[in-house]
Amino acid sequence: MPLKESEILIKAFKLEAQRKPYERIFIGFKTYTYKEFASLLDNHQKLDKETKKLIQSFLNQALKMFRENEEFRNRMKMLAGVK
Amino acid sequence: MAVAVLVAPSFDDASRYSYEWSREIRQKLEEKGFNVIDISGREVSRSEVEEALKQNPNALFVFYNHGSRDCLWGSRTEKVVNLNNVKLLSNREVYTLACLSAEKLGVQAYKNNCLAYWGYTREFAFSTEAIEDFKKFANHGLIVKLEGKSWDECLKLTKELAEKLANKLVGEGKYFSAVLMKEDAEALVCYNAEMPETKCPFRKVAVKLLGKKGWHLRDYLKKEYFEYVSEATYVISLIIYVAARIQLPLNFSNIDIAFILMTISFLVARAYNEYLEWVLNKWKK
Repeated sequence: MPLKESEILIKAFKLEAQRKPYERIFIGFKTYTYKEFASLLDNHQKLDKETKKLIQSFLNQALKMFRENEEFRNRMKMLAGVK
Repeated sequence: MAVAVLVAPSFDDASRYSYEWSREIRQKLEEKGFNVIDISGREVSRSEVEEALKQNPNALFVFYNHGSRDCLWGSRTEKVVNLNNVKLLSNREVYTLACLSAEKLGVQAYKNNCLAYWGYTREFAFSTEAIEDFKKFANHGLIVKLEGKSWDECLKLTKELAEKLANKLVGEGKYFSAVLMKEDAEALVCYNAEMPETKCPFRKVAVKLLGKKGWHLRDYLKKEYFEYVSEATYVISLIIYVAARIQLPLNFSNIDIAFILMTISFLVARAYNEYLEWVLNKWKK
């Protein structure tokens, strides 16, 4: 069964995070390693309201780019191993 | 000599980066002949910022640090600007690199006649792997402003830059960073180049009819002279009514109905004005 768009994105982000263990993301007062952030992407039911909003906003933006930006879409698919 | 008040506190990892980025801003301001009052590189108190703003009433205000919907932070615990002292932003241009502050504080600043408020309606996010790209994006608006562009052009150019940087990041395989860059660009606003969104249906109509002036219509209506005019009009109408009534027979007539309606509408308008004032005060508290 083919992966959904959001599943492709999450898989690709998790792989990117694995490759870059020392990189960090700053969002307001919060700091995450890529790995920490990627783990929140498919786990956002258990998060507090504010973090959930952050993650949802990130995923929505990523989905928008996936649909509108061909290079981004192709690269994410390739990284996730679906192309 | 033009004056700029630059506040870039430093007290955690994120603010150490924003402080670093603000050094380029300081240099550019000085190159353009600004006298820069720089309160940066440490925790900053509210009184320091208030004093600097009070002493330099029309100075450009640049703020690089954390923000929330209704404030700018000088440390983890101290708000240097919030809704209680937002009037200090009146009649000056404000350039912020602070999460969320454009959502409420910026709108309130715009209501208080801040000339321009540059800020973000959501969290400003950045990554360590593309630190130079985020710095470039964060500083770009003010740098092009100092080159003489209008705020409208600055906003447009900065959003275009973000688009280019996001594409470059995709090409470099920095996908987290590309998405964050696009999010930052979407959250970026400048209240001057554009008007804050409003939920008030009256203001929406006023904006459609009168443009930017419509946004501030309530301020115009609240000016004392307008209140005097409305009250004076009512008093004159009262005199005319009494004079006319003396001439008429005692029966209830159209002139009475007209006068009653006018009295009711005058009272409703006054009550609405008082109600708005009450809501505003409650909100400020």
